[in-house]
Amino acid sequence: MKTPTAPLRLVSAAVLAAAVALPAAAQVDLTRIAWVGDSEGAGFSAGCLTKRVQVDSPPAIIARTAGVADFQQPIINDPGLGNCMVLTSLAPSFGAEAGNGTPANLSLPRPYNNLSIPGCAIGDMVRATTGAEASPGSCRSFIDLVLRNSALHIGSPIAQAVALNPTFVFLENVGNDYLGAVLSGTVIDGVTVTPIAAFTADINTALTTLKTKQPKGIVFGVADVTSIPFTTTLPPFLTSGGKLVLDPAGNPIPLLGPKGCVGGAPACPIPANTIVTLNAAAYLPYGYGIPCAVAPTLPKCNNPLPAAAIDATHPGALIYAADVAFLKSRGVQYNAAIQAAATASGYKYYDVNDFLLRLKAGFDIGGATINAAYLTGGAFSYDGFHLTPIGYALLADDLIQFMNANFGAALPRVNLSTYLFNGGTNGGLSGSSALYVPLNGEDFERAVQGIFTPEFAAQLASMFSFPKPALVQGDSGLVPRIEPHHRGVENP
Amino acid sequence: MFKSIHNRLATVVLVGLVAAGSAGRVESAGFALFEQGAKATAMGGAFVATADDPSAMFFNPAGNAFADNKLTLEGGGVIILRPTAEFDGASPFPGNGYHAEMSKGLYAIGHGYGVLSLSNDVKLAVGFWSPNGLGVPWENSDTFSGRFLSQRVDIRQLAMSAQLAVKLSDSIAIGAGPEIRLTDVKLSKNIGAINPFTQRFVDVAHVSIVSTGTPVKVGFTAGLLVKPCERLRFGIAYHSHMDVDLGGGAEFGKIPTGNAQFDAAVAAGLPIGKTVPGTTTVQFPSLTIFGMAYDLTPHLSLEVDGNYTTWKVFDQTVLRISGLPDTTLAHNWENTWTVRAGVLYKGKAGWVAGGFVYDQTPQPDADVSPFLPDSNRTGGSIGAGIRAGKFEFQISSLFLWFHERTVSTNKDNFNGTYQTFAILPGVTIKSTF
Repeated sequence: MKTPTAPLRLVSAAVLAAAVALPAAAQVDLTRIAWVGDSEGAGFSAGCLTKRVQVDSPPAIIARTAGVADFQQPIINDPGLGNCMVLTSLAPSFGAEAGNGTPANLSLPRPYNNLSIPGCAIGDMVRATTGAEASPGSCRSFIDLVLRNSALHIGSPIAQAVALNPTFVFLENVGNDYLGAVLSGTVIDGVTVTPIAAFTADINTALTTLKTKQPKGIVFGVADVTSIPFTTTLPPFLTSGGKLVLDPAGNPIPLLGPKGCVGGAPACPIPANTIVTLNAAAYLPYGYGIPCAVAPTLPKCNNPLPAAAIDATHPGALIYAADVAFLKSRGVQYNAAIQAAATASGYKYYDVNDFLLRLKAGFDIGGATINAAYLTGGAFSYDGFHLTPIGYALLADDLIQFMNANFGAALPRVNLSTYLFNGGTNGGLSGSSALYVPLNGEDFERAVQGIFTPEFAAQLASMFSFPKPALVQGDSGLVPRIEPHHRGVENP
Repeated sequence: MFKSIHNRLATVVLVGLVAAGSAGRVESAGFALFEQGAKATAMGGAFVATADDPSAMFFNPAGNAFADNKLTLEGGGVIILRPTAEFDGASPFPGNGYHAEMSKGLYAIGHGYGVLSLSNDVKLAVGFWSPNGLGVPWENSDTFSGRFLSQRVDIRQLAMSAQLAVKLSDSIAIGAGPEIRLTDVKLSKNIGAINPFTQRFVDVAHVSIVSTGTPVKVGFTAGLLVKPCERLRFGIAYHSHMDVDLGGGAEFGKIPTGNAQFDAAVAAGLPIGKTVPGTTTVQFPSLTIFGMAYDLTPHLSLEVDGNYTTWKVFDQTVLRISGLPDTTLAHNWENTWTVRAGVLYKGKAGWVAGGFVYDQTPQPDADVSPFLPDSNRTGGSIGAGIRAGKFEFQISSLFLWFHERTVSTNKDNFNGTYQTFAILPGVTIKSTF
């Protein structure tokens, strides 16, 4: 047996040393990211998909932070598609921008790195190749802009991810398999909620397919859709100016719903564990859900808030406790299936609910607190379920820390300053001030009180290191602090 | 004679008082100050076993028992220059590439002492000094990324004492007396919030917290000086810990965002234009100084000291603001050690000295912030004293390198690297009668 010559030994030692000395970041190669996802991955925000937010989608922020040279997205020029919401007053009232944005990167001769498609569920990610094959709604509207199979002829989002020959994979599907039930206010397993068997089969297929091409990746769990501002902002009680309206006995007055009413009454008080979604904002000003004894001048007083969609443009606004329990249970089942598939594939499971819980508690950033409060928290956009660029930056930074912890990487953290102070790298959600609506008199007073919720007060106070108060001033003295809400109801 | 004493007294006291009137900047770890006399400073603060100067009131009250003159007066001050006081940010906040500097304004601390011989063995000393101080002002405070934590903080503390020093024998002396401290505090910062219209974090108000009145707290200081043989001296001194109760108010000023609705919402929730009363307590640690001096020759002495500071008392600050629940700010500081060494050469016309100090920071990473970015320090010092008749003019300079401190676990997620270098030239005038 020959012994290595001295130069050979030197070379061997150098190679060994170099291998040992590889930077930790090399443990994750983000040269060709494939991110298969939904609207959150796409950078959808405030009801629209537009360039000024897409450039700050979570995968775009990660790629930029990691110095990835070639990261491609299906950019839609401003003002984007979907009519971006603009806050026009603190009432609050919203306007909408034009939705005539045009694709800016349509001719890219390869799949995009960001294959996120708003509205798509796991089945769409596995099988859909065109709008005709996709779930109705946003997925059907956006899938052809992303997949471009009329030119590429590659197939589904999962197939396009494989075709990228990725160096790292993200599979992000955080809720579209049951979010529709919440948005429409109609909870029906198999219709607005994906059955667990189908979900399990599809997540297994997705991860099995992806891991054969790239064994390193992250799969997201689904979010608890009953714990987002869309479902947590409004209380099940009457409010005015951000405060509970109390009856003469000092008790809060429940809103009215259609279920469980005795004697065939069309409306009765909803139980306190009922979720009132932001859809109620369209009904409350007319008196739906409000007893005539409180607001007799409202034309629809004593009518119930709808507990299911009336038609395509009139969604339900209530989710009763049984449906809430079902949705929570289904979320747990989805995540169990995802975790099992992740274990089988070797992909790391990212618990998005853990992120949301921390977001609810608030991220303290150099004296600034960002949390999940609607309008004033900074993380959730006007639609109540998509993040803002600040929220996306926090998510991207959390993912980077997750990769560093789970893949032995040393990726740099996200620089949050520009998101905090500039709304994003390209302006973010700022709408035109020309759309702002002046408020006067009582409306103004009520709006000011409404926006200055106990949570907002606590947020300001936290800047001064004050804890949130346990009691707040109600109409009849101090009352227990409640969740934030922003709708006045007496004078719509 | 009396006119002469009066003039000289006025001279030395005036020098000290002028310096003491300025804000102090922390130059011993935490917010303690150790530069209480030019001669001691020249020796790196290693002075507890030498203590042959009226500044022994701070370094070792027993030392004044060996004073030879009927009356000795001393006054002076130290100016604090900071050629380098910088911060470089790290991501996630305030982000890589961010750079900020502290204001370069001059700071000064002062001291004044008088030692009167009551008998051959008993001396009465009265004096004042600045045992603690802090001044952290950030440049461009309206745009400084740490403005929501602190734009400027000033803590000033003046100690006054009357001590008796008693020579028990030619080799042992003790000294002790009450220590009265006057303290005031100022701090300012901005308050920010998410503007719902732009979804950007914006400045909405400015708050200044100013203590009112001058709370007086009484502690004590004591010392022992032992000369077991002609060339060797041991010293130990102690300053007690004090909790100072501060009262004052928080004044809120509005910062318009340009959106009338949002500004009104903010104004509805903050007491704009009003002063909200509040109180807090600041814990000042005890300090134990001990050391040994040895005369290598009749002219050349060497001293090595150790200091132990009980910074653990500064574990939290409780803010009690009128109408709001108490708020507790955790600091979790640790007790610290400081090592000092000095060499002193005494000639016919005066003296020259040099010294070294290593000062351990009590502050954990989590607490290092724009409010107080502390770090370990290494310092070198030089100085000289020239006698001219009944006067002695002393000068000194301490060069203090704050160890570069990179923080990634600050409790407010304000991370980066702090770098500071300070020069502390000082002057003391001593007069004997």
